Amino acid sequence: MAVEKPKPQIKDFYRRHHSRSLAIIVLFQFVSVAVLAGALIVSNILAHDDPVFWAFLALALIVGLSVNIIALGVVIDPVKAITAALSYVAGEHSSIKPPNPNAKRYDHDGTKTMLDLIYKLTYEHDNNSARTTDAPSKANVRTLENALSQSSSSMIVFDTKRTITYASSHAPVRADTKGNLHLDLMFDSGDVSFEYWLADCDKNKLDSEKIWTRVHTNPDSSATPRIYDVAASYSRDSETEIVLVIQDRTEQYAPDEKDLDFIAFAAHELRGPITVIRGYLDVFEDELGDELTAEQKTLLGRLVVSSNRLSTYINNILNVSRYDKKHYLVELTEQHLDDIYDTIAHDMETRASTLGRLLAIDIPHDLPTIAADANSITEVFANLIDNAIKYSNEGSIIEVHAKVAGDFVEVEVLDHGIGMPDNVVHNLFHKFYRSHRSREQVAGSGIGLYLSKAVVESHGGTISVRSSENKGSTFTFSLPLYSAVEEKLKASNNGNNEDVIKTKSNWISNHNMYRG
Amino acid sequence: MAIKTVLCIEDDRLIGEMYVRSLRKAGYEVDWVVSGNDGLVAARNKPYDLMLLDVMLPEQRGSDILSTLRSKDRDMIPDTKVLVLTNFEQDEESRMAMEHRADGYLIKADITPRKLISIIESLDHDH
Repeated sequence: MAVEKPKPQIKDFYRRHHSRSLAIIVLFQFVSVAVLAGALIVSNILAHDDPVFWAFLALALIVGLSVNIIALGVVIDPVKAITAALSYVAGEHSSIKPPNPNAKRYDHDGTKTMLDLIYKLTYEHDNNSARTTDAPSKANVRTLENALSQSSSSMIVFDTKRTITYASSHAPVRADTKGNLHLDLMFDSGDVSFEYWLADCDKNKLDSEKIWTRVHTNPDSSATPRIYDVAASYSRDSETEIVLVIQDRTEQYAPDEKDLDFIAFAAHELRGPITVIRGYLDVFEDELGDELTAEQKTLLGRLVVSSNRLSTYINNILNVSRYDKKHYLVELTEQHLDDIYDTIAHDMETRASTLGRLLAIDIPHDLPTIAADANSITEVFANLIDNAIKYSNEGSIIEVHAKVAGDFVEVEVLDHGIGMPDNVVHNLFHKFYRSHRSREQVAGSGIGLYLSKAVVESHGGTISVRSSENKGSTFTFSLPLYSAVEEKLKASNNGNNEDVIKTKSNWISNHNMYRG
Repeated sequence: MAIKTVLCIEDDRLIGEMYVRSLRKAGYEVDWVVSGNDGLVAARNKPYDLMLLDVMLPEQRGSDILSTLRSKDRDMIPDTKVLVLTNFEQDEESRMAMEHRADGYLIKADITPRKLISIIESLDHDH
């Protein structure tokens, strides 16, 4: 079978020319050294068995070769540039970048004129052939259009006057009354805007590229809102100075369940039905309250308490997961402890009364303010009171006291229930720890106390327990007085004192507050 | 200006119906849409006093809607209060970004319609 000989490529010329020149230089050098050796022997300057003779010849060979090879490099460099330019304009596939005629060295050695001419002639030739051979060019545009319209990509091209000279069919552009096209995107996702990037390019760059993600359609536009990733390239003074390749990512940026953390996802799914159950129970209580018998009210109360507890458990699981990943943050602001408790007082009261416990709350309003994250502290209260309910007997009383102790407010949650032996107390705040006996008697996950400890310690406080079997347990936790940490809190916001308390900018990662 | 008109953007039918029912009973005029795109269009077409905004929505997330309507340099809904209502635990960064742009950020499972109405009333007093 006849093998077709590949068409010679311009890009190969330089390599061949270079190898051939090199071969000639090497050959010439050997001949020169041989002639030199002959001359030395004939003229009796050095004998052929003298080591100096051979050393001299070797030196002559090395020096001669080096000088010639360097000279070759200098002489052949313009050939290299011109070949690369010719190869480029001939449309050959090559990894060699076409030479930039504006580079200083080409100006210096005079190659610039030739390179300019090559590019100029090619440009004129291409334009002429585009005009004269319109058909294939149109076909190419149509192919490109079809390709773009079947993908989720689009393309917009600007010329040096910032006029849109090309926009593919799905491209986010709108036409004004004069028929001029305008970009219909809003670059506002915390990144530099398109206009800012362009101004920077015009001022400082010859070529530049930039990618924006999650760029939205202009909200003033009448088009259906979409979300895009936009890749822009800039090449100064080119006919296509700015090219935007735009990828429609609306579907991907809409909720992507694969990206969700499993626990967050599970919690989201569980919380939906709970929202509805709690919501309608609330509606029933509100609308049927007067019509229900005492027994029905008790039953409804049990439903309310159970659904509320379910909601607390889900929050516990999420918070523990965040705490374990070091994502748990507390926002410490000035708070009254009794105000915090008030937000869950009704819920706690219902939980206790539905299960036949009495709740005695003693949190004086005139306690000094504390530095606390209100939401997190309600979770500590709920977990400790829930625990006290679980591990005490029906009809018994659960007490909550609060008082000042040094730079802290100390809170006690006290029950008169089954209590615990000493060996259990040590492990109590460990995750998933449940004493052998509690496992048999009471349902629970063993993360409530672990989370409470995490929350309290994130505030700079401590949590502890005293317990005796069959007498009950007392959990004590402390939270810092606001006055004691005010300075630290303000300093943590770069001295912007006013904002610390009023805004939500003062998120403090746990573990780094008050430590050290 | 008291809060009277409410736009509820919520794709969960049961939750949406529950909020709409309670709010209407409490005397609010409520429009309800179930997708991100419809929500954005509705918010742009009519100046509501309050927007209840879910995060996990089809087509566009609540966070996208909010950042479109309220960016760093412009507020397209200056007369609208925004309450973000979600059951989705966002990462802290996204959550904070939404909190800064909204007037409230609430976990749906933690509140009941009655509680929601009392929160809306307290927003009214802040005004």
